[in-house]
Amino acid sequence: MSRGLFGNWRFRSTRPAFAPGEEIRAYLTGFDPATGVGTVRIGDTVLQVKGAAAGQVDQLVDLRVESFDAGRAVGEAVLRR
Amino acid sequence: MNHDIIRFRGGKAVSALPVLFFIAWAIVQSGLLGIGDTAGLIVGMLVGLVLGMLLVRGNWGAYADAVVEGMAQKVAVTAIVAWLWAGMFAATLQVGGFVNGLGWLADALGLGPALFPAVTFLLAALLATGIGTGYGTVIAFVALFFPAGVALGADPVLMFGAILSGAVFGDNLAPVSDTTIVSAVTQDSDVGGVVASRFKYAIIAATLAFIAYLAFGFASSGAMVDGDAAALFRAQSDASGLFHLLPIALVIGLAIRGRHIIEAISAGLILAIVINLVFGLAPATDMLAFRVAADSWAAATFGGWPLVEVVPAAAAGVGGSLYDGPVGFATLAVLILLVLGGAQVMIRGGGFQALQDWLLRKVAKSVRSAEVTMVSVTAGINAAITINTAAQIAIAPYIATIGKRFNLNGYRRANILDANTSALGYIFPWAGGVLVGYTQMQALVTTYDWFTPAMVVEPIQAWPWVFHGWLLVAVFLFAAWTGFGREYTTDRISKGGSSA
Repeated sequence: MSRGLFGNWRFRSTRPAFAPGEEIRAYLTGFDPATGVGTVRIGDTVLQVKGAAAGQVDQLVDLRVESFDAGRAVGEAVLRR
Repeated sequence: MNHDIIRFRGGKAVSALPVLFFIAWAIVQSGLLGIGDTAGLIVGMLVGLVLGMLLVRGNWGAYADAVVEGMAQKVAVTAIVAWLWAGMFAATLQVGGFVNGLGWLADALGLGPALFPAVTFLLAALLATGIGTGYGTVIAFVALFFPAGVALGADPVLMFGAILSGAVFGDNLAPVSDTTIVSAVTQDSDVGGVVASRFKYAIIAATLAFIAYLAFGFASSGAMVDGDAAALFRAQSDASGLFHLLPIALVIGLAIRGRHIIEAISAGLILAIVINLVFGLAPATDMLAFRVAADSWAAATFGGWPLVEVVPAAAAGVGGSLYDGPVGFATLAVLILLVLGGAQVMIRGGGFQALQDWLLRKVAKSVRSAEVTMVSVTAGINAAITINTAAQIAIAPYIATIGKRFNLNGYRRANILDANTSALGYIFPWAGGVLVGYTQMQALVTTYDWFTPAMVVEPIQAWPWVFHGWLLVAVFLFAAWTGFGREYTTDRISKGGSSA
């Protein structure tokens, strides 16, 4: 739903932060067939994703954040389904 | 669908040949030769598609399939449907004298030459936002506001820039604008959502542009004053045209509430027709007329019936705003389908992938550089494809892929895409928006005795004065750099994006 004409008048970080346990939906932006680990890049924040498949790149996936290092803007997440 | 890879003699880059040939054709035709004819661009795309096929290795079947596959995309059909509805609506407001109503308002407020460019920008923006066609706005305002403003002593170049700026504002923000619809559909978003989210960029640029037109208006006013022109302006103006603010408000309101564009515009169209008939703003035949040839059996039998006009044989045909409005988009519709066919060849041939990989690997290394790349690539493609909707459709898949790789949500992607195509489509001297205004302006010389060729603004003179266009690009470069208005998919998923 739209938030109206005066929504989101703000400056958004290049490195958004997430909390462990947080459930998010985002595009899977990469997959390494050698390690079987997927990547979800949100701005300049990078989450390593377990349980993803190569065919899911550029698809929306549901994730649960497991850990997050706000200083380096990196974390780990698992596929929820 | 056939997903075969098409192999070209000379490698993947050759798959871009049909589109590049079309771009070169557009530059030569509209840029060098000064022919702003959309149907001519269709020939360029057709020839490019034929030439590209000659360079395919082996079977031509996959190439032909790719062309048809590209043309059959839902995005094109959705856009064309919207143009047809918007075309009927815009033309019906025009026959109802909406521009004359705006003229009355300007006169009632006692506008002088210093204020005229700034107010022209506001009113052009209002009209373009209501009817969604920047080209229509440019034509209407060059016909009515431009001579009046010049006659009152406003700077012609500043007046033309203000009109083009208003068209940019409307093309960018209007729910019924073809570019607004294309930007939403290609980026998995709803029209209401993109309009609401792009308001902030548009209003910041417009506020600064308004101030600039005021400042330059005061600095340059008083060059010449013509009493005849002022009288003419008042004679054409009529407050009753302002009744058409009601259907415009209805369409905008329904569109922002997320109603389908066919529903919203149909409702507005019916209201506009009722207003035209009830208040006598336009006879029914101004909206729909069956013009039968005099001396024919049909004229003898049906002459005098409602909606039937008897005309000389050479003028026979269907007419009225319900005809003129959508028919104007038919040529553009065919061009869009063919450009999408050419783009699909580039996708199947690997040229698209190669360019996208290069941008992602070498240029877009952070979200900030990705957004700056999206702004500049979108702006740049308009230099080549002078019809801004066509440029937007060609670049839309790149914007979608680059943006998704940084999880920018559909609204942010749509806003970057639309703002920069809307702006540059009225800035480059060979842009369609500039050329339609120039064409209309040349006609003024024969329309008014007092309008001299020296008052005509050449396309090459206009570009520095399209303040809203330049400021919109500047606002987006600022937004890309600072993160102003940025939204990720984790902040909000655009409506229409959940199944992507």
